Amino acid sequence: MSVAVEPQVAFEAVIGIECHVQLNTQTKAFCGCTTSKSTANANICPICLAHPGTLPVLNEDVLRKAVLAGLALNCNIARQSKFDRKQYFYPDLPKGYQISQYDEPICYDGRIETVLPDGSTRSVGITRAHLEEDAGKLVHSGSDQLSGSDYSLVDYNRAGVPLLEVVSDPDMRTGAEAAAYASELRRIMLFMGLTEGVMAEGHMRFDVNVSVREQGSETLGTKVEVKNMNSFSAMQRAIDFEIDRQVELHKSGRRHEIIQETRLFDESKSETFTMRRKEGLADYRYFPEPDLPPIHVSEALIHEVKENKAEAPSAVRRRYMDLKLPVADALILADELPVSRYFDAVVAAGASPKLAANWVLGDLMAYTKESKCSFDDLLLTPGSLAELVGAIEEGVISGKIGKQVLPDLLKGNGKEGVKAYMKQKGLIQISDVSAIEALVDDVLAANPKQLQDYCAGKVKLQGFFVGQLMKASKGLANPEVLNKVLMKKLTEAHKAAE
Amino acid sequence: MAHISVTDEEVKEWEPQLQQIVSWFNQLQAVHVEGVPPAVRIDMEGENVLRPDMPVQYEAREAIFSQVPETEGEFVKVPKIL
Repeated sequence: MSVAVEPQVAFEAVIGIECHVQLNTQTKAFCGCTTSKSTANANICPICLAHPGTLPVLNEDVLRKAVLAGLALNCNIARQSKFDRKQYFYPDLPKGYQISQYDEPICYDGRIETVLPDGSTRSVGITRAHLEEDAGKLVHSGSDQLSGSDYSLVDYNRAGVPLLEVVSDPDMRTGAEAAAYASELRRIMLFMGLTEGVMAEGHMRFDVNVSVREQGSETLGTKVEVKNMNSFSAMQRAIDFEIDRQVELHKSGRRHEIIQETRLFDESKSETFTMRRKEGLADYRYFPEPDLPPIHVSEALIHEVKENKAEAPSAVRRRYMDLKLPVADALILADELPVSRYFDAVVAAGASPKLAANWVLGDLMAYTKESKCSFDDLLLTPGSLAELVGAIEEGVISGKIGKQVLPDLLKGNGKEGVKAYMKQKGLIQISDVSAIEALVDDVLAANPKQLQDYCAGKVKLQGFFVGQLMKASKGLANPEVLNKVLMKKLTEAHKAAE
Repeated sequence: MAHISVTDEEVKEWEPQLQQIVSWFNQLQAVHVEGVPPAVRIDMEGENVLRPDMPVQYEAREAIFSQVPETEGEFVKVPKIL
């Protein structure tokens, strides 16, 4: 007899991500206003405020950075593209339109390799990356948005700052995959030197589109946009919440309740809530920007950018794995540019990669976290760390002494050379056999009772002698040499006593 | 445009002028443009028009900021959003 089993319908999520990357140029996209931090509305001019009769002119560094980003995202670079006007009315937009790119993005059809925390990789397609300008910043008056004030304040310093909008293919299926994509995108942009990349400052703003469908289905479900995620872990939680919510509605026969809308993530509750409903596709009345000529990307520019392109984070990871470093170590070393740069410099200065990795990932990383500094700010130079690692490897100092002296070196001591500093401080390990023999002789002579007991069979007393020797040498005796010499002397004494 | 106030005399004077402008557009619409590429701007051949990434402080900043209808400190005041 067979038991009828209710077929369990499996669902899968389809996730795509749009990211606005603030490019780190000196000036705005189309005028000479500085992009550096200033008091509100200090960095404005008739061009970014769209006064009549003004003419925008594209910043050459914006073009170069867009090409570099495109190459780093393995995109095709359009040899010719154009700007368009996207019209909408909002007080943060001084012109009443945003200069953007509609149907001819500068970069298209790319692909990046993302890496999950377990070291497995996923490939995610890049639909397009296009240039546009940022809007001003709305500051709500009063500390509490709900306090009933009837106006908002605007700072136009950000209006006209260049953005690169990167649109992914809907290739991700889980919150973890989406977070891995987002962090890899940030890593790429940082390694290439294209953005400051500070999430809290809005240098990278992610909008996530989530829909759910029955597994195996080719059609897409109604997509919901989620915004307001300030970290990658928040992004992961927001998406996982949203997937669960939509699957639940599917399962309970209420899929019609999934509507096209924008939802915000509430970090404290770990859930999403409705911000606004999308009434069909907004009509932005795009048309070609008449004030800006088409953009031509020459082969020479592409060649020049390629020649000077920094190493991609995925390439750095592969290089570290080729050094036979564990996957987990390779991932952390290649996670942030200053760390990777520091580690590379230590290895270049001659340290063994495994030992260098241990120091960088252990004591140094703990120190930078504790003192809230970057690897770029470390007073211990990569060359000095390599010297320290080498000194331990050669047995000039013990690992223990190395750790003891590290705080000193991190304060900037030992600039004239780590070994010289150790010598000056009297921290050089004693590895000289005759010196250690003399030490052992002294200690054995000073403890005749214990030596007698040892010879009578209390071999555990060997530990006692090691302790005495370390004390006598102020911890500087090379443990390996010391043990060898001690065993030799004890055996001799034992034989003599027989 | 709806905010522009005009006198009766102006209406009388402008009405035929506006009619004339509209009829010019009718003439334009009569032209066959199939296959003609759109001319949205004066196209420059080849070369890009670019500007070096060098900050230039706009000197009359106070003058343009003073044209803002309502301010609070250094901010522009607008009706409440959200």
